[in-house]
Amino acid sequence: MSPVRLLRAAPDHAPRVLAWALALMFVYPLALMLLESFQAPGARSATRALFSGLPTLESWRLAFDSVPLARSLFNSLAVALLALPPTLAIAAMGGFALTQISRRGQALAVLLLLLAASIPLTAVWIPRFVMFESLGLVGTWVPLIAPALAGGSPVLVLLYFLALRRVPAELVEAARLEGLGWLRILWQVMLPLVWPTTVAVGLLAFVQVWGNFMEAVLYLKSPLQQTAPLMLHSLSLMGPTQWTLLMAGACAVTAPVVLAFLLLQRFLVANEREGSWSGR
Amino acid sequence: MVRTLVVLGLVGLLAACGKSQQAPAVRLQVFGDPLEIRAYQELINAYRAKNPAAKIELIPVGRQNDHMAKLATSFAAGDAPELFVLNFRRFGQFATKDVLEPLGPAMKARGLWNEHEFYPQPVEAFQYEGVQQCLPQNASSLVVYWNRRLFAQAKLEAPKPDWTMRDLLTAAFKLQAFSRTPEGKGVYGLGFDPTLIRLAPFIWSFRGELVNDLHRPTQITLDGSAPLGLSFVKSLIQRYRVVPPLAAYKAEHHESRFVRGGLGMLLDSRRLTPTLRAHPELDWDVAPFPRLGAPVSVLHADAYCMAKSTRNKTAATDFVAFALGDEGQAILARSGRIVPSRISVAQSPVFLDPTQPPASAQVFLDALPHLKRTPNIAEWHEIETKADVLLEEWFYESRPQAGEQEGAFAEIAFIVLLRDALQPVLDRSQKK
Repeated sequence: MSPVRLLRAAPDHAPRVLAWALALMFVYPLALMLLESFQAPGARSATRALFSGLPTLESWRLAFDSVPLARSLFNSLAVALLALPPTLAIAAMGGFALTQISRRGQALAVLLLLLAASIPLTAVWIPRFVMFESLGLVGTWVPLIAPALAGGSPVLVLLYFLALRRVPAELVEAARLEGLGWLRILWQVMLPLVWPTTVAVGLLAFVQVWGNFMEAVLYLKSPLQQTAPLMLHSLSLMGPTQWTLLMAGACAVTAPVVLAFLLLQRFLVANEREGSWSGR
Repeated sequence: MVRTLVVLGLVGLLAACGKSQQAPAVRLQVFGDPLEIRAYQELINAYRAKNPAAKIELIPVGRQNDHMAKLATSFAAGDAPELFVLNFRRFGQFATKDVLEPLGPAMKARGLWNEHEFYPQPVEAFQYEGVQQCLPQNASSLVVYWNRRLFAQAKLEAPKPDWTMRDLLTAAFKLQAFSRTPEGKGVYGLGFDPTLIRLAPFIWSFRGELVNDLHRPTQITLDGSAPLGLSFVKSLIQRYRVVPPLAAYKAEHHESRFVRGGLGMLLDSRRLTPTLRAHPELDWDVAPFPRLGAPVSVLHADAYCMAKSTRNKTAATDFVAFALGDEGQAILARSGRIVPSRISVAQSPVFLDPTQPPASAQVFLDALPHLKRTPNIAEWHEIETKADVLLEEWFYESRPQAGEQEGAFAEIAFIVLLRDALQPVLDRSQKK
């Protein structure tokens, strides 16, 4: 039986049960991480009962004492907040521009974007490093923020393109007849219609910048500039006898992403429902 | 107008993240855990206190692989840090590319380096074509960490300074027997990672060799009695079952198992000491690597290196002189992480501190005259990486119970496989 038929044949509550099962699968590691972070530091048996000791904040205290985690969280937040507006603006502009070119041009552009997305980061390490070095920007946050000036990632531009091309062309033509410029059409007409996409792109861009490890390793020098993934990495080097510190650090680093998602997902779902104006 | 202002604001914001000050005279890039990084920062602070005008910046990187990636990228871009720390097993990658400024001659010319004040084994490891390229800051080796409480419970005597492979096996056996009692449940006798750097001393103990020529290796030999060495290692898990099996190894790291009292002995270098010191409830000490005839172990050493592109060589060498002096070495030694390469500090209470475990810290110093090392050629890291995958598979694979002859044949077959896998890497080094 095909999966579609199987779903049709299933009772009404089956999709909900399936969704809960999937959610639990994703929540389990997060819950484990959180529970472990409230365990006392030190090595214990791998087969011990989960949450075997009394909960304590000692691992959290030690995690923040061992490495400048608070400062690195602030640094990561600053980098993410600086990168987010240009990422959204340029990805949206790129996506919108793609909707305005010929079908052939779109196919070619999408192909080029997919090709760009498939280039491994390691392949461009040295050319990028040389470029930023010649600009005197190595040892600053700029190389971490700079991808925002190209829309963050080809995938984000593609997401906007896919969303914006669903908007009827007549709407753009009408706006042009009203004398609106391209930027105003994007800002006042198109973006309000694809609000859920903006939320999704924003979340993806935030996660991308927030979790950027290798570029932070390559470009940052001073301990004062370091971002949260580097500190998490440092905590992991404290070895298998200090897992609880690593878990406390992981909770601290993961919390902003989880919070951002929890806060924004309501908009995402609500607007997705409202956004069915086009009937597609 | 508004758009122009927004764009200008954005550019200004990015520029604000830019460099607010000129690059310092000397950058020191190091790798290590937070404890080591803190020790390096203390070292720099102490130097600054003595030389207020000195501009030294620490660039900490966590893992050695990331440190190497950052170094390789910096060198390729022509922006290498003036000073950096290298392990001798990675040193060849830089020495052969002629990107290092030989620190030995540079410091000797200024009267800042006297090799006789340092242990000769790590000093020699950082020479390339007879020139002292980097200067060693530590000289560790493979030793046996043992749990005093478990030894007492298993009614075992403390390992003696001249203990042998047979003694090691007996101790592991008794610990394993202890694991069959209610209070010893789940205890294993011995733990080690089945990697080339850990197994090399076993091969050397049995008079085997890894390569035909340490300085200019052209062949992976693993000859002589190397199969016997590997056979002994394999018997620890296959025949005597004193080492945690694969499932236990993957479920819990040896280090963690040792700290919680689930492992009687653990083979590791000095790097484990600070981790164990962080667990005051654990009663432990160190013993030398057991001998089979002449004593032998494997060298672990890191050194300060200087990039050829360094502009302010005087400032860089001044800092290295301080770091390798009594004060600088003492600061790093206090972290517990290193065995100082400077003889005066290694033999002082700073390292042999009787109030700090291990009580038998002298073991690290006694091992030094007997240390052997792996080649410091550019390809050695690649050879080790390849070998480690094969060694882990070989070590943990379960064989049907076989006689000694079949076992020896299996080890010879494995050595042939290992040679075939590693020799092409070595051949590549000769073509360059």
